[in-house]
Amino acid sequence: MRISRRRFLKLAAGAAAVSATVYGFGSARALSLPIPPATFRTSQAGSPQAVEKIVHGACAPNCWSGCKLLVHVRDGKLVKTEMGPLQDTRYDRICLRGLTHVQRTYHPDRLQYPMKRVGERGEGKWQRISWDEAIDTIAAKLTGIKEKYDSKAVCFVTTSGYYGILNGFYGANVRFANMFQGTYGSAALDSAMPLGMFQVLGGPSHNQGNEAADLANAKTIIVWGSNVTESNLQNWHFVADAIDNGGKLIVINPNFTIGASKADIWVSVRPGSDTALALAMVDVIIKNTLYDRQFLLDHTVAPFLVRQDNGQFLREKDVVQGVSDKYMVWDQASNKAVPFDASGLTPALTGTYSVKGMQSDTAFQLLSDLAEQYSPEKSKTITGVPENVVEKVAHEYATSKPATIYWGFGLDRYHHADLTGRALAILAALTGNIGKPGATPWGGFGGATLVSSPLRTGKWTNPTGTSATFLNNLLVYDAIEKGEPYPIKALVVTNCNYVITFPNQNKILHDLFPKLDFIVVADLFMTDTAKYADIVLPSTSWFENEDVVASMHPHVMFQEKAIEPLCECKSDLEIFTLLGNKMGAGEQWNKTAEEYMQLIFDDQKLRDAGITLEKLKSEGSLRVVPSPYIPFQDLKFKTPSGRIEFYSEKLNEKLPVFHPPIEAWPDNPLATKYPLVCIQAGSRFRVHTQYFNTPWLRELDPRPFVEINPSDAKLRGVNNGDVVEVYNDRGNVKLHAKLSEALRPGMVNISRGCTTSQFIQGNSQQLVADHRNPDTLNCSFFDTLVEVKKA
Amino acid sequence: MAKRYGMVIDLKRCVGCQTCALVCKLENHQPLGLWWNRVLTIGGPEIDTPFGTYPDLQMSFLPIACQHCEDPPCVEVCPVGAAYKREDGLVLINWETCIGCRYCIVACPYGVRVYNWRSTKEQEIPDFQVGAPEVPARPLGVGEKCTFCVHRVDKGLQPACIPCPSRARFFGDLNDPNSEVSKLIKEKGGYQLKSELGTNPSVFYLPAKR
Repeated sequence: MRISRRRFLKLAAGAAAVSATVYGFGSARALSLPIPPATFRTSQAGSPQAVEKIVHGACAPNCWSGCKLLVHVRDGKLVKTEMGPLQDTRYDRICLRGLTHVQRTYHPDRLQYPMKRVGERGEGKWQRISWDEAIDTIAAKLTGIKEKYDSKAVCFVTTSGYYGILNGFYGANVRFANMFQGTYGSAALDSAMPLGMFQVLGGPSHNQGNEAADLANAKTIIVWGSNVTESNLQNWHFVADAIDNGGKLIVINPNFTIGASKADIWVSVRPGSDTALALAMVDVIIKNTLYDRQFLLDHTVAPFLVRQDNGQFLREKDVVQGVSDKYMVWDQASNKAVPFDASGLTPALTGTYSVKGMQSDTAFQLLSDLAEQYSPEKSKTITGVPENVVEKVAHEYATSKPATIYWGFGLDRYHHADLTGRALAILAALTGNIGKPGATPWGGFGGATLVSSPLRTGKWTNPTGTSATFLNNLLVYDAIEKGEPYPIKALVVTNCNYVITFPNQNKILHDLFPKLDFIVVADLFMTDTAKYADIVLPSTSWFENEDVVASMHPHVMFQEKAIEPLCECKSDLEIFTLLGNKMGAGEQWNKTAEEYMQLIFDDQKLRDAGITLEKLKSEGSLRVVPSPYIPFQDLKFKTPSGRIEFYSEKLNEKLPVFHPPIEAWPDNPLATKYPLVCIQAGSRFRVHTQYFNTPWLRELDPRPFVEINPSDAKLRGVNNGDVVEVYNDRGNVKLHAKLSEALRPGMVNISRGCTTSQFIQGNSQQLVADHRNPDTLNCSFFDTLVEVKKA
Repeated sequence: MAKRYGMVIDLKRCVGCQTCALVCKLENHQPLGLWWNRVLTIGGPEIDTPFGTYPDLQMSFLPIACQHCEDPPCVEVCPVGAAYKREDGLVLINWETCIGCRYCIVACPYGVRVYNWRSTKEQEIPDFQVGAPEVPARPLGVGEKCTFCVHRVDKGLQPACIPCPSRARFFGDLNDPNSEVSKLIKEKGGYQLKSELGTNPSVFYLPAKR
């Protein structure tokens, strides 16, 4: 084919035009920004004769996913991770991070052998030691601390680095901690919103939401405080299905997330005011009689009478001495208070009644009165959301059913997040949006996780019947710093980047760590936490061991050993086995991974359900929760009343009310000094702190940045790409500014999980406080004020 | 009728996650700095930023790789016949023949051809070939681009980027009116990029807007 000069020029001009546009579109430009001098080179030829082996695998960080992988191995080396088939193929997927395991596994920065610290903590001076010396030292230290203080003075800290049953965050470490009777640092993360949900719906059980695939059945989905396309990318396709099926997507978020760009309605809400917004919706639903009256009467405490004198539910025994403590309702037919389960009654939903001189309101009446205080008009000053938007969202949720609330942990990062959880559960209770296909207040959260999996068994984690003391991680701070309620003198850290995960980094490094006699960290990399260890142990990657993975979808998956452990790396199971044997518990640590898996699966209930290790190994995955997984279908709730308790007798706040964030709120005098609310959203280019050094991901997302609205940036003389300092009284971080209209003015975002070496100076984790609400004991990462200045 | 392979990308479902860019990078073992498949933000000046002023904002994404044109300008300009189009519509490069003149890179109206300029002194991670063994190593200084994963298509498999976490990517025979891709294009208003140039791409996009 020949081409005329005229046509060539025409095409070339077109090319230039597109290139200009294309490179102006962002990703391309971002690519050209901070990559170190471009390093192009020829890819190398593989040996064509090499036999490729494909084995079962699972991607298992804490993105809630746990994607099934097919792991390709050539010449004994991991060369590819590919999307694998699950038993329920609707959950087949892989994401950008799951494709980078070749880089994570063979990263030259992988720890290769045990090391001991020879300089000061954090100084970075190390000496290679043998495994024998490492285990001898750790055993001696732990024994010494146990003898000097108590076994509880050794704290086993873990977060969510891996969802393997043997080597994950609830595996060999917990088995060891239980036998040692140490302290297990627990929770303090992602726990206040669930707590609020449990208080209303009963619990705790981490399986209270409909399974993710059920999102597709919803006519309305409210994605609330969740950056679903970043934090739970794997669930987005079900939301997209709902949209394709004609459903509506409502996104409630202070920032214009990618999800918001796909929404029918994006509600821009003031950060930390979500409880007030939910209560405003409650008000709209009640005032417009959009609630499901029969559902309220039959399955919630709505008709129960509440005594005005003590705030408790009126009981039959309050009315007639010596009889039952049944809850009482007002029967409109007989015009008197009767037990709620009396036959043929017509219970009143609303009203105030005098029963034996005791003034009593129905719980629904109290909710209505409370919601009135948060009418769209009144709550607008709190939330900044116009009345008509609240009306519209409340109408959609209550009338375009089934409706799902897909909330995210953005809501959980505030001091009073438990109340937000309760308020959201109330929306479901009012509208009957629970226990049905497409209807749940906890979208995307029904799975087979490590903690709620049917495979969880004491045979594996509590073999001797002794237990570790579970101590909330925020209270672990006190135990280290003040010796209260008892001293903690050693940390054993596995599957956890402690100093990047927990708040108030300067406190950790300067007030807590110096008080510890011993820190041991097992990890793949010299993380910010490992840097402060006395002994560092090299961990195997997920593909170097056998394991069973239970993550946040309805399956468990077989993690086949794909490759031999690199260098001197060992799995958590091997590490704790060595330690257990060294410390005289050899009879409890004498099995192989295979034998422990057999032990875990040796259960009649599992066999009856067709769940066996042999089947798992041959099929690679097994669906282990019912299909479809829709909790509360029987409309039985594990609350004291067996009903949805939107009104609580025992809690201080009988009904959820709005309390402002304790720091990040305009009324706070501190806001004049530090006027910007700083959040730490998740990023799809990492999973929490993992993948921070994966080169392909860093090509796309090269460096940490603070996202700031151009109007806020202008006030501070900051241009896109400038180096800025973000600071408050707790600490500071120097990094680049990324100007984005997606950010609500008055807010900044520094995505969490970056490591100190990536920042120009400091660390964003210095900025966040370790405030604790005694009712929730949950980290309030977003309840943070900062100022930004050009550096 | 002969097959004409084509791809459909549903921009309504696409959330710009970059998985298709990564899977291509791995499968076809592209070195650091080279991306056959990219996902562009249609919005503000930076990746993942919208245009407009808060709160009146818009953003969408455009995954872009070789469009496998029916009338490919890159093939027309190639002086040595290294760029060629197969019967089934795949536009490919013979890397043995390519002299690295880069006419094709200039001629491509979609800016999707890349060029391996230099050898690196920096270590590639890992330091052995990953991805598909059938994908040949490219010598330095040749044009490179998406092949529709010809090594997979020839085995009856779909390109590696089709398993998209948003389920936004589809592949099939455009000449078969009953194929999934043909139906999607017809039913959901599939369109081609820069159709006015007459290149007639085999990649169709479904509109981002509902």
